[in-house]
Amino acid sequence: MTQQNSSQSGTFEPRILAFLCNWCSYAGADLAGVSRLQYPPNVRVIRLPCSGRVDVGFILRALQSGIDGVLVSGCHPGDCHYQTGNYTARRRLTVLRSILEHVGIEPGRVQFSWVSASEGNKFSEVMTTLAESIKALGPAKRMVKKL
Amino acid sequence: MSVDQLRIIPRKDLPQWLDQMLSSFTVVAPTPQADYTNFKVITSGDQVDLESVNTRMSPKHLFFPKTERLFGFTTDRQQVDLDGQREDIPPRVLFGLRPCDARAVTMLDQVFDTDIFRDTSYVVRRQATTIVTLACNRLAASCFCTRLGSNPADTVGSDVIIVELPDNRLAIQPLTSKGQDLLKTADLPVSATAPDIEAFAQAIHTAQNADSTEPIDPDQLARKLTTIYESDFWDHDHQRCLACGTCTYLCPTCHCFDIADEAKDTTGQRVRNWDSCMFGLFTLHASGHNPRPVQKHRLRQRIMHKFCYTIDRYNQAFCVGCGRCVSRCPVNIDLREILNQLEDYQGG
Amino acid sequence: MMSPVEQKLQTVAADLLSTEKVDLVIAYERGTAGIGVRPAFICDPANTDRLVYNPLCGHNLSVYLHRHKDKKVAIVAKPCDTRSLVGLIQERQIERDSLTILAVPCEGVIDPTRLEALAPAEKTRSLAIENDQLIIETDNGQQHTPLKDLLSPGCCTCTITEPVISDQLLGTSNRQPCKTDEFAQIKVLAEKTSQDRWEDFCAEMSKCITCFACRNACPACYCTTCFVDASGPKWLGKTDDLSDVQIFHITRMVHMAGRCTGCGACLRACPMGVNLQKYTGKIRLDAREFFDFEAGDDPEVKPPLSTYSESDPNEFFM
Repeated sequence: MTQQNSSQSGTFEPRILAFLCNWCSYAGADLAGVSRLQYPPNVRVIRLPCSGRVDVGFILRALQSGIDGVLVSGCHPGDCHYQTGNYTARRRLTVLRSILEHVGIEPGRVQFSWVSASEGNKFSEVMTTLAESIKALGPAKRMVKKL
Repeated sequence: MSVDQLRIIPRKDLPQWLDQMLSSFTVVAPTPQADYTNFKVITSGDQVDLESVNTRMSPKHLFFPKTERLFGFTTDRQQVDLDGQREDIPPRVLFGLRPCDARAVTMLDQVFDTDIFRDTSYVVRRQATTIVTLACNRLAASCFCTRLGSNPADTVGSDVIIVELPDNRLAIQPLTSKGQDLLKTADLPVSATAPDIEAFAQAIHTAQNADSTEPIDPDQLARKLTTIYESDFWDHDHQRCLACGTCTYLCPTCHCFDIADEAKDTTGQRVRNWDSCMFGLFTLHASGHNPRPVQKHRLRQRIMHKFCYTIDRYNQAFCVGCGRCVSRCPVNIDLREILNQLEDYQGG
Repeated sequence: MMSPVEQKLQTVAADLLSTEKVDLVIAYERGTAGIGVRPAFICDPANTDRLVYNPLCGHNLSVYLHRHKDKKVAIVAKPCDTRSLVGLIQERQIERDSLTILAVPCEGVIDPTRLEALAPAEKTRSLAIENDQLIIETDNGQQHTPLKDLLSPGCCTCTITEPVISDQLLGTSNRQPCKTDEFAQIKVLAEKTSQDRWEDFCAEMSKCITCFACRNACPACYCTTCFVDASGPKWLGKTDDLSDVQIFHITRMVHMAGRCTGCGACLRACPMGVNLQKYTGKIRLDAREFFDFEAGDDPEVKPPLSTYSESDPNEFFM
């Protein structure tokens, strides 16, 4: 990710990292692709076996590296390929989200969604909303490593 | 340096002198932070707080920062470009050190600035710095510099020493040419009268004799430590040690470090971070083997390093008795007690 | 003069050791600084006369249990410390059967920083505790200060007056639960803007020297390899860059969620006076609000991050 935060025209183009569950959200992204649905190109995807695989360290490391926005997306509650992965993820992410807000990371810097394999439309909508809200927040400055 | 260089100023004029200093130097001095003081760059003479005996952190980070960039690198995957550019250190005055901390700097010199190896980052910082020491007129409860063969008016490592006279005046004595140069930049007339010189000598004498505890015998201690390495001497204190890095991080002479690459994409920097022998990771091998697997070994290492290995190598115990580890250890691991026990220990 | 609790502690400890019911007693003994105390590890019944118990006994001794898993241990525990023991039993870190809990009454423990500020050791001739008063003798005479003015921050809002679990009660206390809101400073922060909270966080974190005393003093931080020390992959840089310091604390807080009992061991251990309560308080409040969970209440219940409920908060998911 060596690209600059702003494009040639000077408008801010955020760099967004999405952690997607292999069984739902990643397939949802695929569906959005094959259905030729449009969504902003700011998102880079990391495919994980389950939203339960998301360690808080992934998200914090992303913020530290200067990522402007993070999305974690998994299967809808009840639909986890591994039965309960997204439920335990939800607890962990609830805590992380609350702590991040408490220490003063802008609300919205890190976002969460449930997108199933059949929801190509929803995936493209989530991506659009996400990119717009991160654009509105501006470039990430807090907790970015300066060294 | 002879006492005819002695300057006397009223204590209330100290901020003024510091302000004068600020026009030609960066000045680093103890400033209040929470309920303690720490060395910070000051912008005005009245920010200095000389009331507490010791700052919470020792001044070693001014010569040996917690994180030091050694060099930067970039690569295009074909070749690597190195960028050895170092931080520029302007001439600076380290003001208000206590004699123990000034003495500790001479110990760091022996590690980082030797005939066979000169650590550029360290030497640059050291050379840019003039050390102005304030002799102690009282001891903190955890002070034990006398035990280490020093005293509250020790001049080792100082370029200038300041001694408080009883009548709210300060006697300022240059000790090195660096110190003389510093005093030349200030509007401080040499005005000491015969009674002033007498008062100065008296104040030094009082400070030097403020604590009558017997100094340790470094050689004897080092010899003893080599013989009791495997003894039951080490079986007790480690039990309560939490294995945090407080003692080593606050210590003015502890100087262990770890080198790491902080890299992202195709660029990065090699940095040197403080490390601590109290941490298990400190000695962990890549194979997974750890030659110091438990806290007993690590606490022993700290004592061995300070009171045996450095005596063998530098002819000096690497402890100045500042008392920071004693007062901040969360579980009261007290070097003074360990030294007493060592002297009394008959087993082995 | 020895207090009744101290007397009983010494007798009970000697008895447990000499009858070989336990191999080790973890308690407190007098330290080297003034009236200060420190953790003591006694294996010989003859040494039990070293044991003390007074309002300076702040250390949460349960942190040491991990090192003695192979032994039968008796441990002195204040009411709040017993909550840490519950956590350790809950997480299967200690065997309840090999542990003898000697529950001591607590009226709140003295904060070493407050004590130092009131009676700097170099200006103090002697210190003594009599009933609920601290008696300070200086060159200028005697001064009496009520102990309640010197309590640790956590003790000023403490609601835990009874041990949750115990094997022997070494005394009882009449202490009433405090009515002051322990989460007051969290609520103040919550009212602020995100920017202000961030600045506050930066100011607090810039005091930290990453000596890891908070982690090491914490009974719930028992991982054999902490994420801080992991090197493959490396989760955290060890630099003094503020982001490294912040990520250490944020990650630790997430790991503490539903596990922190608010014992204050981290606060007491910190050499730099970092107010970690601002963050430990938040995760305790969160555990309560999101998962209706109070750490240290019940050894049989699963900690909240080891389980889930279908009705957990879901509104922040798009």
